[in-house]
Amino acid sequence: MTETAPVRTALTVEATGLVKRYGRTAAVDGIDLAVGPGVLGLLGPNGAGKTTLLRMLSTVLAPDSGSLRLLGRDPGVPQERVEVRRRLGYLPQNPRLYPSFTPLELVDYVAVLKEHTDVAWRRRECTRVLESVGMGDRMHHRIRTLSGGMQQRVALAAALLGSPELLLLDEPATGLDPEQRLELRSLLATSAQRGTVVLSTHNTGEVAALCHRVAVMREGRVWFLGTPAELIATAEGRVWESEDPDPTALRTWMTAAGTYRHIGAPPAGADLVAATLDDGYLLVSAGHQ
Amino acid sequence: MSATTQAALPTARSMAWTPVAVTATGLVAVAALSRATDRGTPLALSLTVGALAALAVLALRDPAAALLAAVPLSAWRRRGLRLAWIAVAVLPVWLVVTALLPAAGLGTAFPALLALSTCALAVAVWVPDGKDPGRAAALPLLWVAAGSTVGSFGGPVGDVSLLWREHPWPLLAVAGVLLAAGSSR
Repeated sequence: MTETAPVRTALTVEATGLVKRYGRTAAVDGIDLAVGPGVLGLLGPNGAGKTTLLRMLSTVLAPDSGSLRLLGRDPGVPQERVEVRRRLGYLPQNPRLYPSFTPLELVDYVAVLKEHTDVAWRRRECTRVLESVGMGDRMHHRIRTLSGGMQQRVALAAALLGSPELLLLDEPATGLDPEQRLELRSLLATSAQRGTVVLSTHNTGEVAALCHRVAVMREGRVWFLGTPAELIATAEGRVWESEDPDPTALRTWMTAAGTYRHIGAPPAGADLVAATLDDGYLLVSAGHQ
Repeated sequence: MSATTQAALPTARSMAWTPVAVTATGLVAVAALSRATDRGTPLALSLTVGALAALAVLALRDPAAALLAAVPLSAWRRRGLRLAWIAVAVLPVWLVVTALLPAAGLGTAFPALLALSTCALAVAVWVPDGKDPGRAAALPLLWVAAGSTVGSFGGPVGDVSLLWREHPWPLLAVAGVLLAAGSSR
């Protein structure tokens, strides 16, 4: 493996005017993003452009226009793209694996493709990452015998190989039970101490627990970028509850207590309640800040 | 040992060999039948060319492609490994089939196989993002079928349907350029 001195930069991801179109549809439509160390959560409804953005950040997909620098390098230049790939880990959405491989064989194969040619180092590193995702006791089982959640953890282990400086995860908690989700949070918090983690999720609880910053995407654009506390603040004074549905509200839903919770412009005398991250996200994703 | 060399064996293990085995058995059986009955040699040969070219494209199918999309070892090298393995597997099939069939037509069959395979591979690497490149495997089969059905009609359609057999080298050159141009995709 050819080692190149990494270019140190405070910003891991620098995107300006990023655009990616599929036919006439702009999946990503002019995104500006500057990301430093820590965890950035991408929130947004299905089709918001989160996966397309992550695929561009992982160098898998080239933008149609705009500029992108990752880890201080230009992924549009083939040699620099290879150098970026040596320093990033990528977990795609719903990854498929080889059923006849064991987790150890699969992660070892990925390590080879990441140009780690030292067999002894690879063995130690593969064992380490599989243990870190709780698959140490099943690393010799065939992948076809593992549950969906376990397979997801094997794919996550492959992304963690070599402690990447930029870790890109597309819905990493898919198929994980609550206990495994907690372990994932702890794992990602550790990874964030070494570099940058960008994760796409539908789970605001994950964002609240883990992310230093959050970006809310809709229709290929970033509509909000800030801390989780700032996202909550966008909904302060705009959330209320009542016994009946309120047709003037932007969004209304029934709570477990049987009352109705609303977001939007509260009517006079409304029973305002403390906003949550869900409220902030719903408000922003509805196009109101 | 380089990463590409170390990746060779696990790459072979990651490939789907059942379709290869089934196709190989079928092609050898057809060739043996053709020899036994002394009939259908051109068809058996065309079928072999089309089917082996299709297998070359199917070899590019990688179920874990999404997971491996951002690794530093280039997609071109990974495809190269898969193609090398499929070449190793189909070569004995080719030798057996051509040994079973009479010599007539064999001289042009190998260039035709190269031309059809390269055309299909070129289409596979230019398949738009998100689409299955394995669909390009249909190209050699359809082209061979077209040659067998409308090839004798003459005219532009007939000529195009037999291009792979009658003019394999120019076709190979054009497809090779397209394949090379798509190598970084």
